[in-house]
Amino acid sequence: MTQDNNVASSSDSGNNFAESFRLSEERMKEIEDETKQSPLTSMLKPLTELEQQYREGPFLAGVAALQKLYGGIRMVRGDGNCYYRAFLFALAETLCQDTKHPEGQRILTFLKEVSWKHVKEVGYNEMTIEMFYEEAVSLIERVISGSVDAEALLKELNEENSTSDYCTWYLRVVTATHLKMDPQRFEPFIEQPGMYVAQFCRREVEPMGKECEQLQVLALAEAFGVKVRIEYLDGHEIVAGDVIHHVFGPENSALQIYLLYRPGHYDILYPKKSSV
Amino acid sequence: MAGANGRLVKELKEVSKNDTSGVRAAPVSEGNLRHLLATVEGPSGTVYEGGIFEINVEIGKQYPFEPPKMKFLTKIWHPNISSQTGAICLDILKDQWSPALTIKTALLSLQALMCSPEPGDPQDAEVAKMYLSNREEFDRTARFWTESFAKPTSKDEAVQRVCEMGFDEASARKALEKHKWDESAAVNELLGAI
Repeated sequence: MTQDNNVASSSDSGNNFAESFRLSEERMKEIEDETKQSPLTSMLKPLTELEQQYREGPFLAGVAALQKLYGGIRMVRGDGNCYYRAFLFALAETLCQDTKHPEGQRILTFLKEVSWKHVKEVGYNEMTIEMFYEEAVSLIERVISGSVDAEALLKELNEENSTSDYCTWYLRVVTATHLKMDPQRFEPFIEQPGMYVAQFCRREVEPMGKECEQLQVLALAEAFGVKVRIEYLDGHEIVAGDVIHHVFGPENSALQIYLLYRPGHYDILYPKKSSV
Repeated sequence: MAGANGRLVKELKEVSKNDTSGVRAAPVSEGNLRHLLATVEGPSGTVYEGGIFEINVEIGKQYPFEPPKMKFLTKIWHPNISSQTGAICLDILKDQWSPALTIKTALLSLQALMCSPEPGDPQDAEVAKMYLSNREEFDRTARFWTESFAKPTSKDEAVQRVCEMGFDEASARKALEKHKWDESAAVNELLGAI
């Protein structure tokens, strides 16, 4: 027996437990630090960027199929918040590029009047949500008034512990609120057996870093009335020359965003002109 | 962001109020809102009933994106709290934290944890083992610890007893605090200093 083993066996069972817990916490911290090296939302890149990641197989065929429709991609940090963050960026960027966008005012009204009223109705404590709500309203106000241009937007939404995180978390609250407003409709879709909407929101929606399932994807798209088209590059077969896609939120919305799903992750897609 | 401090001020106002919740917190020293001393009353009908448990609360820079750091200062016999260090094993103080929660809701969750221990996810393996294998002994020990360490009067009485041995109140209290209210250790130190 080595000396190390002696030390380990002489410590009490509680210490062993604490030791393994500490190690896993250290590893988690490492992963977190690695993740933080990538930007929250990257520069716009050509879609060919994806080819380099896949050498063969259905993924590469999928990338080729995607290239027929899309020209660009913006990578979003893989920290578990990617769907909400991608949604936020794509929405703000769309409104920023066209300050006369007919949907801009509707989004602002939704945030200021509808979302805040519903957040309070489903029982959130105003004091805890207020500052996140204010950040989200301020961002959309600045975007539709034209006081932030695309470059400034990219810069602002890449600042650590700032606008992007605050707004991303408010989108989580909007998502949870949408689910809580109609629990009977959504409960059957909760994958965890026997879990109620309130519990689901507390465990899977409200904490930062919790990845989302289709239920959250649908709820956020519906709440904002934004059409979210998601292309699935997940190794499935190509159907009729295209990768599988699904549309969430209202079909007829004048506001549409495009996302790429790869297992466990979302990025933002940019369609070629009038291709999708 | 400016909002975070504003929220903390509002939270402190709420949690320092003397209400019926049985939980309170206030800054340890004026001018530092990020280091608090909290108290949780032992829930009635439990082995912690009648005790007042002190908790050290530290609010990090990322709050409310990160949970407040909490640790029991008062010794407590509970499967999810270290009997040695006071470290707490509770999901909302770790990965289940969300900015929708507050210092007050976290303290109320601690109170709920005192009502319903979760020995399957222990912080203190020895306590959890006793909880599962010999509930009677667990109850007896936990009650004894509550009586010995968490009764507000028990500390004053201990100071009183040490004073009666001929030491002044300030040194008696200081020595008792230093030795975590172990009377004989405190008296030994006081005697050694003479």
